Amino acid sequence: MPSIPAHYYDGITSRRQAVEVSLHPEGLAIFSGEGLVVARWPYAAIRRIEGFRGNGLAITRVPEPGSTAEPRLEVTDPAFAADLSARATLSLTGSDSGRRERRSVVLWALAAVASLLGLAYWGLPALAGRIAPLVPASVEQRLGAAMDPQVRTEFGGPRGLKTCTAPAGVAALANLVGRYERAAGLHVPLTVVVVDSPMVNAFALPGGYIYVMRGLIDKARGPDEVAGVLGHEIGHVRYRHGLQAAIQSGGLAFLLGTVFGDFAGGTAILIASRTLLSSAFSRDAERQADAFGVDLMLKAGGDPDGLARFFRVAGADGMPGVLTWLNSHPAGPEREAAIRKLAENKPVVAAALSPEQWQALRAICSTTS
Amino acid sequence: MTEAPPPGPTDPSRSGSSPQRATPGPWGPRSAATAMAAAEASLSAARTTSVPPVGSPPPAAPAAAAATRMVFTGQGGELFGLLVRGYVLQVITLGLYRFWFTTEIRRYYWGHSFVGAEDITYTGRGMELFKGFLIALAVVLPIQVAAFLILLGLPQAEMVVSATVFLAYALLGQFAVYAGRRYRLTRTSFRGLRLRMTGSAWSYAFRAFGLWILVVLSLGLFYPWATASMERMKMRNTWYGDVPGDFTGSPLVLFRRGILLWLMALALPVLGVVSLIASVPPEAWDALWLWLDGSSARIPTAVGLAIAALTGIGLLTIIVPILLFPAFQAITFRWRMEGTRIGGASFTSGFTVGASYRVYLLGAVALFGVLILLGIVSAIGFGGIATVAVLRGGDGFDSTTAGVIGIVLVALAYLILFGTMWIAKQLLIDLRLQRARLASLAVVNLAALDNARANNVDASAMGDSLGSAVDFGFST
Repeated sequence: MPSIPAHYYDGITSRRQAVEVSLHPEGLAIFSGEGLVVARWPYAAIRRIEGFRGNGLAITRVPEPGSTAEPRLEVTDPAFAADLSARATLSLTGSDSGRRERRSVVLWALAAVASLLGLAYWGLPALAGRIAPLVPASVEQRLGAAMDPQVRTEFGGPRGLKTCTAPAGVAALANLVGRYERAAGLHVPLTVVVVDSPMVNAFALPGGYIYVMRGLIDKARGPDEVAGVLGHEIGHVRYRHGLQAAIQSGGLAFLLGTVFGDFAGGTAILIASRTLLSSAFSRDAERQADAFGVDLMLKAGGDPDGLARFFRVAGADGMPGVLTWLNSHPAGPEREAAIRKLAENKPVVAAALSPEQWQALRAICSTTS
Repeated sequence: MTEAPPPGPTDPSRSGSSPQRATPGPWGPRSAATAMAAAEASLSAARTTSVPPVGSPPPAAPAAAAATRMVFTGQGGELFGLLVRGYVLQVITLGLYRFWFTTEIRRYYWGHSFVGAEDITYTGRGMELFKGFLIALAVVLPIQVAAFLILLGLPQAEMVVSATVFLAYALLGQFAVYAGRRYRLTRTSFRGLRLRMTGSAWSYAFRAFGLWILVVLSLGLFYPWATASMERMKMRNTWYGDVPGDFTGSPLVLFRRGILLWLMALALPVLGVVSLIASVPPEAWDALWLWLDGSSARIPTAVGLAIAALTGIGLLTIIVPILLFPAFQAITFRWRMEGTRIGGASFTSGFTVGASYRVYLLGAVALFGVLILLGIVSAIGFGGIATVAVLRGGDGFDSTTAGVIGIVLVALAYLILFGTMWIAKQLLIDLRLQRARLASLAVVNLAALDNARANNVDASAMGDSLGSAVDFGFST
């Protein structure tokens, strides 16, 4: 076996040594220029130095017990490198093991992604459902009080959403809300306002804050529709959905923002998965609130069919069919059917509002503040 | 090889194809003449921590301090392959692959950096960064959970809480600068010896935090002193084996080289604003306030001029610093490298402001070209898809499948657009900058490191991963 010139660093000092190496049955031997044996490396202990971009091959040996020295040998002769590769196959297949490692990393990462998304989908709502009842009502009210100005700015622009204050309308609304509140048995007092916005919408914040938008009252064909929506929103308050949503979105932001992410374009993917996941949470919450609203109307007045009818109205000019599965509310017809089923064969105890009250409520936005 | 000995008599076969073949000695000394010496050597070589007998060490300290040029040999093609694969894998793992990707990129940049003929090796592993990230999570998680719970219970305290979190992250970020550097140094090997860093990352974090506050308070004028102090803390705790590093850069030099930039970036816009305020008549400001307030819809000419001037100055305050950034970067890089010492070795750098601008300007032009190309390609692609969709049937847009396909296409286009720009930026700017920087560098008196002795240690990758978890862009 001929010896081949090579460069050697003993891993103990920084000096570059011109050496000669030769291959033997047991391993690789390194000789100094004078012909002295400098080191002997068994094949099993030889490793390729990954990422070596110089000429030829750079190898090291696994440190012996009790030593941290990382000696280094650079061989440029291709024939010698090939010969060495053949003898020390297991330890020299750096690129192969790199590929194997990459494959296992990607597979495990995919498994992690799947299980964390599963956690986000099923685990987080369950967790939020457990945590929310533990939060004191006073804390929830403070949270709602802090969110109130934010929400008004978000929907109403820099000047904020104006509250409708026509006295007769306010009195009619207070009458309805009072009856529902007594029947609902809530943990927080309700603060229901009509706000001056053309949107056909209503929403509830944590702490009993409920906003009905003028557009919804304009669009409604009778008091039962408004009352149904109000009952639905009171359902959100009763089940503390706003608080749960706050906990969920906090958890989701952490899960998706800190664990994942951090690559170009990653933010968009994260926002998309966040939207999908949180709309999945809210679909369940909407069904729950629907059922509560129906129950409330059957106890304290109003025809649950009004809520069902409202979805037909809202569905007609809502988002196009393509996007319903992205929408936070379940599809209209599906909800309509579910509500009709709940209210089947149940008598209506009282009207939601008298005709005079309904007229007053329709005019509630004639004055605003 | 000055004295190449004849091939050993015990190795008649040159093929080497049969490892099982018999040889007289276990390690086959090449000639009988050296057999005794070899046996003697193998006795002492059994202790690995001792210096193998390879003759007397050469005399240290050459007469004249010779400069060894540095060079970066990395080509765009290889990096392109790494980036494309890394990007795709990051997308499908929602970013979890980033630790292994970072490792691959570092291996590329380190491995292609040569001091003379000798390369620098990065020995870190992706798994180490991932473990470090899990530890960093244990630090970041309690902060986030605490902030979230406090905000839930006391929403009025939002300002206080977010300010506290910001400060905590800024401090952790400085901690990560030091600890991350420690990790990277211990995974950097040159001539078979690793670098390492001693000192406490926390004491660095507190000091650097205070220094940054001073920098902000002084509107940046204190930056040379702060950065010199931070650099000294880092370099005096940096070791190549048993050889200590040092930093001798003078803040005054940096101040002198950079003051012009400071004047242009900060003083000029400030001066502009002041003179503008002084020159515009007060009535115009009143009218402007009224207009902003919404109580007056009328915009007098003077107000229009004032708005135009204000916008101009405002733009200048943003654009001028961006335009000056390459110069700032070049000046600090050169100053930092010229102040860096490792034992008797030091660096020289011929990196010029012009070289920096060449990289950035050409890179920006090329990036713009890539963007235009992308625009054309995506216009053709989306136009084609839309045409096909229309030809297939007009009401195809209403069905859910079409919606899903549309969303997937948009997401894909978005990812391709971002990915291409991200890859192009690294190829057209980062890579070329690294090449230009390394080509400007030379190590003076490299031979002073010949007698360095190994002191290899490991350090946790937590700091490195923490850095990216709390990154505000402070990390340098």
